Amino acid sequence: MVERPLYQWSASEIARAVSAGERRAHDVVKAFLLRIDDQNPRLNALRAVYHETACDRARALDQRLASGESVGRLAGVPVAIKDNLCLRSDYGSGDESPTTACGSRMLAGYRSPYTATAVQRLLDEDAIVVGTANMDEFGMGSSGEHCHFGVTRNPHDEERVPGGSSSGCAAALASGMVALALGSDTGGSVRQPAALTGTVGFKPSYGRVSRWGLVAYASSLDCVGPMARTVEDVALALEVISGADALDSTCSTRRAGSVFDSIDLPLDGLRIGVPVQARDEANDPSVNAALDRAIDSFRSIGAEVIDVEFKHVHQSVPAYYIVAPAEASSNLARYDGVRYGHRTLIDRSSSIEDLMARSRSEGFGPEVQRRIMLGTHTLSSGYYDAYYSRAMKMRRLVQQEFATLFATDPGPGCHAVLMPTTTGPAFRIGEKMDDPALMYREDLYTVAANLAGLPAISVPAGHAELEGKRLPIGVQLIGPAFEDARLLRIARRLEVQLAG
Amino acid sequence: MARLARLMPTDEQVERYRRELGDVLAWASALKEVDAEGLRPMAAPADAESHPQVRLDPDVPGVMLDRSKIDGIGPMVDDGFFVVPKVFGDGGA
Repeated sequence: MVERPLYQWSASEIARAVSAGERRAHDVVKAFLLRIDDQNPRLNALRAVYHETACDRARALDQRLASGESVGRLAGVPVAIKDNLCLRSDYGSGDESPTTACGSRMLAGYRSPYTATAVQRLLDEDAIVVGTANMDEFGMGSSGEHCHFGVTRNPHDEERVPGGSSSGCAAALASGMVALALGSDTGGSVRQPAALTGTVGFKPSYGRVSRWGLVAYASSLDCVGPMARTVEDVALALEVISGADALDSTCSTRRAGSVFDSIDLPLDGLRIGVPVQARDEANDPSVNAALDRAIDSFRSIGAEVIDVEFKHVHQSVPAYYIVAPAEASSNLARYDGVRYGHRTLIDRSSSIEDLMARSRSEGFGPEVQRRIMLGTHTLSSGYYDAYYSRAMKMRRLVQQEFATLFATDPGPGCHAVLMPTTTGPAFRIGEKMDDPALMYREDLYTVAANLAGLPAISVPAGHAELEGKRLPIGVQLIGPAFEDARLLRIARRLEVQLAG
Repeated sequence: MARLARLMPTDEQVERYRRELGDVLAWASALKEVDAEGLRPMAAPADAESHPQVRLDPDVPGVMLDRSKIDGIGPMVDDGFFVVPKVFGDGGA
């Protein structure tokens, strides 16, 4: 049997082989760096690559192993982190000193004095950050096109988008540049790009993973989420990054428990709910086919699959596009040309208002400015009740709908809800750029989990054949709050069954 | 609206944003059709009703980062102070 190239190995395979001394961490990292050099110039997935730093860290890890020291659970695993997760500037030196730019001119050159908790936990387990991944500016986008550092391309068809906002993470995973990535998901930003690139993206329960060091977009929706090529890898990463954090008071103190080791435990009496609204007329036929494939897979392992109602799936999107920009308009007020980031050139006659407005207009791209103004409008006196207050009530309704689906008495007692992740395969670069409302509908199936704070995962479930290209399609599973481990077990079962 | 948001769009951008935001708000008006009577607004999943296990810390100030490291972040810092134009009066750097 011909051995697969190292860059195709999963994170758990790499960690196992490195820990057992079967592979040197340095060889692993070199293999991935070579792959990056080959793929990244075309795909623009990684904004920064830490060649020397990653090699130095891998060599240090190999030395520790050679001297008999124990190593972490992610030993030698090459990782990309999204450009909105802080990585302390002394992670690398000289040209490799990291910046955290959030895909924005506003923060280009921003050197963080600290590292995000989730990233630090990966490093503490001997993962090796090899690059910073491009993203839609401040997480605002579903295509990877709204990025100051250029458009990221889908490895399955370079004329198409990889999804967003964790565009670079998804493209890097799908092209074998990294074995694991950390993204963030405010309205689907981990799951949608995972679906469009044939990778796995997991949004944990709100509060499961610390947000410390994740640059804020919409704080009540933002989640750090692992991305990988297998459910098993996502489980491993979740186990490492989850758990209480003194630096984030919204992070739950509930014990995370075993996720990775329990991934193959049996699931008896599994019940999956499929909303009748999941077959929206906007769906591409390939999406409905993927959904059917997933339903058949669950039935073939003895799970009960039932039709359920999720009446407000359509209204969840406008609710999200009121709540998220409202929070963004507050969060992004900190970028004023004084304390952080871009500052315009001013003369002696300039006022502080000039400084702020000009710095912000130069630093933020059009989509960010659009959402800030939208949020400012919906929070303003006279419109608050009509929009923001109503959206928060809609949010409660979405949460209650899910609670009913998961409840047993009264309720169908679903262990997970199965839906598409997207309405279609990856779209062409530029196709939706001139119509924000059309682009926002891309998030039809993903925003509800964020509004309700629930764990949700996208798993590859087939392909669409389009113009001679095979474009991945994903399906999504959503579970009850803090049932992340069980949801991953369900997803793992689906993944194995679909592969068979 | 741009002034409130501390933004300075060009005339051309103003026209574009006006059209696009109008479209988005018209689309968001679908929320008005939902019967939300009696529902308690939900600001975050971390509220006590949804996830009682999420903690609320006492609001006690503490030292988070060494000030010298923060000074390096600002685009214009002088002797530990962020430099801004004159706040009151007719401007002036």
